[in-house]
Amino acid sequence: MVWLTWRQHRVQLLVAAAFVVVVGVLLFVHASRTGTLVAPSEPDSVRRRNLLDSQFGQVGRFLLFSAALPALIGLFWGTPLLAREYERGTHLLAWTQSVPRQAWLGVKLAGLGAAVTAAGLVFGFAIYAWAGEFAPTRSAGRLANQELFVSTGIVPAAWWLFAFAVGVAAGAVFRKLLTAMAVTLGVFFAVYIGVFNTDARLHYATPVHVEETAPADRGEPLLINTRSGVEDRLPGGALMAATGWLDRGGVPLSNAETWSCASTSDYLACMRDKGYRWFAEYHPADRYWRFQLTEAGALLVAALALGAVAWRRS
Amino acid sequence: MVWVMWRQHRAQVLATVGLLLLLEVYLLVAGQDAAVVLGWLPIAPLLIGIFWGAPLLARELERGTHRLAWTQSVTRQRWLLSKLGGLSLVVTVAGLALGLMVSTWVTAHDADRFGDTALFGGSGVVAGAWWLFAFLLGSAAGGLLRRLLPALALTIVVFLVMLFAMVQSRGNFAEPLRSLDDYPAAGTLGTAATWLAPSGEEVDTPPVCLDASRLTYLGCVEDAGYRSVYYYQPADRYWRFQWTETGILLLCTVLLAGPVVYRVLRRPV
Repeated sequence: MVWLTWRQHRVQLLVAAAFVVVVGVLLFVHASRTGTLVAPSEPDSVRRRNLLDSQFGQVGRFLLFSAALPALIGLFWGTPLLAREYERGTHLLAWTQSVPRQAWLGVKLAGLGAAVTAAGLVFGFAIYAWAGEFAPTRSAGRLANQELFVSTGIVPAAWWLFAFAVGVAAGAVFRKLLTAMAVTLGVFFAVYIGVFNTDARLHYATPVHVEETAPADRGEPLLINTRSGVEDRLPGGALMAATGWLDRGGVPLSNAETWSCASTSDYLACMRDKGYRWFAEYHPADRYWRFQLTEAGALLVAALALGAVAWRRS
Repeated sequence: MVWVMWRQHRAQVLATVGLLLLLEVYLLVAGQDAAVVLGWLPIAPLLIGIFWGAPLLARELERGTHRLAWTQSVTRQRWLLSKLGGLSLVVTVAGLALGLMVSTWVTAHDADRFGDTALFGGSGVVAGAWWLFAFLLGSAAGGLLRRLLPALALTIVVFLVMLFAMVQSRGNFAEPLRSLDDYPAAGTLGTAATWLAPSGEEVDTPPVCLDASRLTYLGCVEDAGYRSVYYYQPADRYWRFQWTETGILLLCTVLLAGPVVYRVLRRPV
């Protein structure tokens, strides 16, 4: 069975392995080049920040594409596994051999699932190690930058495995390749956008709440939406949940109240005189692994449930 | 032939129309909040390539049903004309409908249709061109590789490369304008920003401020007498750029039609 699985799926196994290895090597080369360009001990300066930013951007603009990788796993690994057999009728041959159906499906699901997870782990830790080169700059915060959060650590492996399970289950239920592919894409992106483009991640834990009287800033008005002014007072790499102003009773200000000082020459002094307090809620950077485990755990449970669906339907 | 076409492709036509209607309802209900979902617009044509384009020839060739289809009383020319021509027409109309929907949403919510990469590609006439391009790309991949899954993989890779190249080169469709001190107004497409030294040369970072910290940088630049320079494409070039990109995509589409026509008409069954 292991031999059969290898023979039937070697193209996709080899393509995925080659992809992960190439990405790993490229990232390693890029990280060591960055290390020689910008010494880690060098003090913070514009030159250093610009260099780090441009080095980060060379790879960072591709990070968005890594979001689409799980969808490809679902399309090319997951869906065909059962849908092709059904569509071509080859399941009649495959399931009437000396190997029982359960063993056939078990080896395929477990073997390919393990391969997907392993490839996702290598991918995730290659990007994790690469991002470590940029740790001091804000854009590289592995928790704060959502694109980095889904491309580093164990979360990519969890998304890959989840997409694989979605594809297999869709194939088992719909039994036609193109229909199953459409369903796989629809389900995967609905879940993915649902988690990624909403503030779902902010609720993995209770955020840390800090507040202070209107801070004396360096002379320039600190408006609510100048993120740099807000983040400067917070630990680096934090994932922001909310910022704003509170009145004396601790209730968030309405829009009109927030802007009531906007026309005065000293915005912050005006806000201070009214007794308003500035607040921020955030998740410190050291919650990275906790958040990773939360998301990976939820996806793993979903993947197992989908695997059970495929098992029962076939 | 029209009846055969409808019977064979009605699922995808109905699904596409259904999705477009769903999107329109969502745009009306969500209003401003739809911006996040519209960020995924650039990869929407990929779905057309995967579900309309790639199966067109790959499925027939993979299952051998082309031997049946091409030996009927309907000639191969007519089969090709109806399938490729008819479906291209439907795809283009659907893409233009999407462009119209997005353009209406952009006007209603005063969004940035030029500077925003996703909205530029999803609005106006270029949306239809992207859909047609993706359809022909999928068809050509299917005709070339003759198997569905490899054809899908090729379609996805080529489409992403094309999308990336187009987004990178959009700012260079015309010579950008230059603005001194003033940040270009909303609705323009920014292409570059530099500092103008008192000596008259332009630099990315003023050399005297290289070692300034983050907080002292702007003060240092100002003290040294540097002025900010912005390069941008003005908002009224939107339609010109739409037609430029449409032209490029249509050219690629025509080039892709070549292998499809060859595969169907010239190769022996």
